Amino acid sequence: MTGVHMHRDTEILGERSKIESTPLHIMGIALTSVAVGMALSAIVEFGSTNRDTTALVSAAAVSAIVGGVLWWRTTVGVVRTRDIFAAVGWTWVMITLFGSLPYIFAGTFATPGVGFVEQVVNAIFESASGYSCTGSTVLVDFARPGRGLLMYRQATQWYGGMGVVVLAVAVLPFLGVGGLGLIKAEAPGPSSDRLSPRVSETAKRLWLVYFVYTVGVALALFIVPGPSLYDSVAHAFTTAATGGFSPYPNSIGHFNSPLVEVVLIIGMLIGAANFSLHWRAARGEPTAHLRDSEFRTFMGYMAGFSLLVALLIWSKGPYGWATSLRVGAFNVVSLGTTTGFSDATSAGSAGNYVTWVPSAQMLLLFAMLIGGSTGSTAGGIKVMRIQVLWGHALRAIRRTQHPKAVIPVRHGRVAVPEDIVSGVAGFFLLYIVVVVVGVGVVTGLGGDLDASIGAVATAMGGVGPALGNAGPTASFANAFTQPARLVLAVLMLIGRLEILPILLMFAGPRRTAGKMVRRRRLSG
Amino acid sequence: MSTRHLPAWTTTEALEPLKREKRQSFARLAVSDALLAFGAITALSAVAGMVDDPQDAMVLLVFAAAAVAIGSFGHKSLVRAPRPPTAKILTGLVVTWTALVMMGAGIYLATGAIDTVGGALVESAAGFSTTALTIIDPSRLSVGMQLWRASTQWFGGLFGLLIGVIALPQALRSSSLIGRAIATDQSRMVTRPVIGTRRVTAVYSGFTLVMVVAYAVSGLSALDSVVHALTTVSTGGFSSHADSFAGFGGGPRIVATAGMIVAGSSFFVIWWAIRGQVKPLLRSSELRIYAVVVAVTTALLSLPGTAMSVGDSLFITASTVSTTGYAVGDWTRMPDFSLTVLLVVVTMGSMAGSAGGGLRVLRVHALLRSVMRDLRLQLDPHRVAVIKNSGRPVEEASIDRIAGYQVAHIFVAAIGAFIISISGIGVVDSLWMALGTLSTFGPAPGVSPFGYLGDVSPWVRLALIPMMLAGRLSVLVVLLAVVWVGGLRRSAFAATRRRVRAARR
Repeated sequence: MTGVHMHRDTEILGERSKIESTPLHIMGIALTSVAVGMALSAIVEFGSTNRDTTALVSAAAVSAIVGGVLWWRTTVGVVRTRDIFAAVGWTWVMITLFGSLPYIFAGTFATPGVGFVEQVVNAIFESASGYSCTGSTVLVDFARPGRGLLMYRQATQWYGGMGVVVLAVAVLPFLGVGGLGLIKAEAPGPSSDRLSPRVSETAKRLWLVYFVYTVGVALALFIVPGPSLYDSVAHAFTTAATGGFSPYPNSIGHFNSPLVEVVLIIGMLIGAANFSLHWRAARGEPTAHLRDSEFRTFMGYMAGFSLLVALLIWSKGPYGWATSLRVGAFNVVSLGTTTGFSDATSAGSAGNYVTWVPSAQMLLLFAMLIGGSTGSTAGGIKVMRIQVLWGHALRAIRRTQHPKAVIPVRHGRVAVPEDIVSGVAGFFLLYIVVVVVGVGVVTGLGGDLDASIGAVATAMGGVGPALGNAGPTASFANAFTQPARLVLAVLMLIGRLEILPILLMFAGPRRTAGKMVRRRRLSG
Repeated sequence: MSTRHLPAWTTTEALEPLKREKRQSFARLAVSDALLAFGAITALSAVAGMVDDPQDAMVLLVFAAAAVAIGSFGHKSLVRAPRPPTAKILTGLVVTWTALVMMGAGIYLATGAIDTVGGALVESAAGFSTTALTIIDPSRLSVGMQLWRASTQWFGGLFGLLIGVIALPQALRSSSLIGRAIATDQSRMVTRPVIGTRRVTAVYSGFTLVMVVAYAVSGLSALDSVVHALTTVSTGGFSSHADSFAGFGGGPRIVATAGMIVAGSSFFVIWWAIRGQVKPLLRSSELRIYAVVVAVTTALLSLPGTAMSVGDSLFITASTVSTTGYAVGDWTRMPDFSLTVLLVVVTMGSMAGSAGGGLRVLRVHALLRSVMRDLRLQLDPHRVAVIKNSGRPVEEASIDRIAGYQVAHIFVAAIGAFIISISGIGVVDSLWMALGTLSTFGPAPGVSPFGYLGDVSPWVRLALIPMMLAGRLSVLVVLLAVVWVGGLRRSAFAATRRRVRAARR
């Protein structure tokens, strides 16, 4: 008994000496998990090219030490709303910054004429593009980084796909309502389904579905002719995450294989569908997908856009019907699921969509903005929101005729609650405002208008390639100035977290700092 | 005179059934009213152009006579429905606008100014929608045709103003898209539709006269002064020269800038200013934001590196914010940053209650306030926050409808941009063109810096017509008319099905 008491007393004393801060605690767990990814990549690097092993190990060590100290020296307190935004926002900022360390240490962007500051900016851009699952790149020389570092680059997207905060919630034993808030703040979409009454169990199940699905894509890729084991795992990471990074400069065009493209199309569509549907289907509800209105609409719009784009490419030539359908379907699914893979084998090939007719490019731009389903790894505004917005617009028309009529906005057969409807409308407007401001800033920093609209849409939607001179075969390093790239990196985080956490992440620390100042004044 | 000795069938009571035989119709009567007014302005243009080109003048006179005859016949055979349903009012507006466009197209074809039906329809639609898009070189037109072309925009501007200030508030039960408090302010000036119409027409005509004098004093010829005055007050943007204001000096540009800024502000602002009512002017948050938008846009356009003088920047700002569409040069060669700023300003447009187009400053302001409130509510969900405009609360129902309106506007713009891009126009240019046309602005970079559509494919020009209509009458009005007509067709089909079933039985 005495021993137990002593243990408890030590535990209590230990807890007391810790700082009560949920954001810092979550950040600590996230950074430690990122360090694990770096360490595993270092093993791959050591076993293959062995050029960047030291850089990866050093970055892993720095991240592990900082993350470990934060995890160990802090504890979870009462989770308030502002703490949720601070936790998610700051965690993503920190993993982006620490995630850039391997590139900086390895000198990945140290090409002639590029100063240290620009190297750091490029590293942050690549890291933000990775963790936010965007897939835009400033990497020009793909032969420079080792295979391990390239695998780390792929893994950043896999981490970001399901979300490091969801991972942290899965690790934490008890977070209650605050935990669900954390998942909601990080997960895409206006609502997030609980897969279990316990929040940590929900997070674990989400990660389980994600892991099994990634393994499935890797196996499928490995079976079809072309990709090696390394290629299969690397592309499975970024397919499951709907990220779009590839270790090759030509992306999927490197394989030039219709079979690989078919596997990836299926993989991307699964990744952009709601994961709770996958869970329900796996638990013995095989028609779960078909009964979901959002999934049906998503698949319908993917099919419709694919056919329309193929028709537009074919109508203007010089490609035949089969090639038009192949490149049309692949690029619509790639951009619509916000993955960002490209099947262009060269700048002049059929897969380079910036050479297509403007109307096909316009549809691709719409697909980038619409994005995938809620509760998936895809970005964009989301199909469910577009459905609600459509209903909202129709209701506005009907109410013009019948001003006092009570007309619910429906999603499928379900009436959407009014707070969700107004929330969706508000989000849409906020999204448009951020896109407009983003385009203004990027063009102000020297960007071309075509490329800037595409780049901001792609950054906000987490897609990857843009339009104009920032297309699928181009590098953002050549298309945008250094400050513009930094702005785009911030927009990637804003888009991945659906705006609010990044905008509101300063509210928590500001109030805490204000309280501390007031306390000091009172005590003084 | 006593009716005692007259036959029974001449008494008032006996005549009542005959009066009742007049058909009640809002739409047809609206068309008749519009045609009467159209006939009057066409006749005036004919008289003014009689010396220069008698042939054109005769054509104009024939059309004026036809319009007056049809209008008068409508007035004799129809009575106004006492309280028409909203959908019928809005459909009536769409029908009236369409009738005017068709009549205008007939004049272009009959005078030989344009030789294709599609082209004539586009030019006429651009006129009545106050959009600065054209397919002709206006300097080649006769005096009468130049005046008539400009007066189509003047008429379109007045039509838009009457719709915005009188018809829509009545049809939409006054407050749906602006908020009850603002609507109450406005209802003090528009106590009854007749009084409102008189006041709006008087202010609009007075403003036109002032602009004619101002342009003449600034050095423009009599014809140029009248043409530009007509298209400035209406925020139309048609000019008597193919290069718009590029050939004019500083004086006319200053007058045009001032005129466009005033025309882009609300009719109520002008009314308050005329009446010397300073309090409501100072209280109007929309006016303050409008002024800030003009100042900030001018400053952004004249930043170092944009190679634009402050004067030119202010001119372009006034032209875009009021959705007029005048140009002082090939503004589409401006830096991409400036074009982005202008696109935002064009989409937002002028103040509510003006002849301009766009989403309107009032609505954009309300929506941005609502976004800021949503952000604050995220941190403090139990907070009670009211959105205010001019110090008065805006109801949640209005915010909801404004949001729905904005969503519909963006959806229509997206569909329009896609249709335009099918012709081969680039992505950005198509987006610009769609948003510019929906705001009744017109010119688009890379396509038509001075609003000239001669190089654009004919069917794209036709596709722009419904967008001009939506821009002039508001997207919701056009969509509702479509829904209503669709509903009529559905009910007609249902009735036919019922009849067929009954016949089978």
